[in-house]
Amino acid sequence: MNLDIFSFLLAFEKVEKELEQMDLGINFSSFSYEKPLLEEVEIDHLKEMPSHCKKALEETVEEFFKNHDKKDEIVEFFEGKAIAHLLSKRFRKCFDNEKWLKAYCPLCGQKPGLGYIDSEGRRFLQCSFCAMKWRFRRVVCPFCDKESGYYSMFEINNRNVRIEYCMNCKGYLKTFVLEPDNSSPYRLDMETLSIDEWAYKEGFKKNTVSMIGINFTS
Amino acid sequence: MSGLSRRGFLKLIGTSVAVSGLNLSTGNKAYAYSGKLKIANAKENYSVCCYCAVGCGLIIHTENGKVINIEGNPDSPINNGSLCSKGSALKFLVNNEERLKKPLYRAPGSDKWEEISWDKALTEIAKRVKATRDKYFEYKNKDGVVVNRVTKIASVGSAAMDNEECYLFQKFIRSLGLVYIEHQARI
Repeated sequence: MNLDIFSFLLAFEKVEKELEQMDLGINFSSFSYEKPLLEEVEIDHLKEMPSHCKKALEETVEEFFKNHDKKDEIVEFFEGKAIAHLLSKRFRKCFDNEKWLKAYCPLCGQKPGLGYIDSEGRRFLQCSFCAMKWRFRRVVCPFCDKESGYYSMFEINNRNVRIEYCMNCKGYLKTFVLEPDNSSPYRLDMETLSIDEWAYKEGFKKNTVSMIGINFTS
Repeated sequence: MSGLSRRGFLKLIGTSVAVSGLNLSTGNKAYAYSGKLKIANAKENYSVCCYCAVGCGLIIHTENGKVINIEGNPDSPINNGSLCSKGSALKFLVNNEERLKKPLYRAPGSDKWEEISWDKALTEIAKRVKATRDKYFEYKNKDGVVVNRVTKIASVGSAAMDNEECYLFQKFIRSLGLVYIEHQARI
């Protein structure tokens, strides 16, 4: 099948934008920084996506995944992803970066899909599922927790992107240097797919799915 | 589906939409940017600044064994990623043709520097310290009080010394009779 990925991202981001005012009914203040929030806090029932957002999402999936036989599952997946992304945006506002510093997401416990280095040299990781950003140590590999520190730097579309790879576990992480905080993680991931190819050719493996959640390894 | 139950939500985490035989089309946006390789196979290493006893953390970037960048380590609790002006220029301590590697000596009246061995340099320094100290040592001041001091030599301590080294150095210079003792960290 053929998927126009950038048009799909545009449509999906529109749904996410409409969702922004949604009331989630979750209190973040009881987070104790020991286990990921979703394992620790009792969430009996996440509120349902507003019906107009759900409808827009269904239409989007209908348009872009025409010949797919499991559209319901795709809608369910992207509904969860949109809500998780919204959760992470709210969570970040009251999240203390200095108290976590672990290699997995403080919200859902997933491994990171992208990395960032800010103007002060601090490294942030971004969850591959909910796009939560949290701080992590430099030089250390987030997949095997050992010191690695190898990288190759590329310039794509005026962006400085590093492939940070680990000789111990052969994992790699795409890391953006001095990227603005409000950049869309889905776009960043898709626009730099060419260096993922480079990493595959060099024998490194991606430990997570792509930021948008579509598996490309066909 | 009526809303997302917690269990249903957790089930989604880590999954992906598997699309078989997916052919990515990127419309007008050229996804095929080849990307210009700027730095290949560089390595980051932790280190500590060599200049002073504060011990700021560093991250040293090397490419093919050659230092290409040195920056402050943002995870170091000592400096939180920042460096002083001297520390920021550390890269030029490593890659610098002007760097001194051997002691140089210029004889009085000469206009040339000549290389000498460490042995000779240290002996020469010791000889001159001893001569100056012996010549200007005061046993009593003009009121006849015993002072045992040398006022013609001053010591400006090194910031690269740690606590124990400073203790030993202080013992040594006090035994010479020095009274003008200062430390770089106070200047």
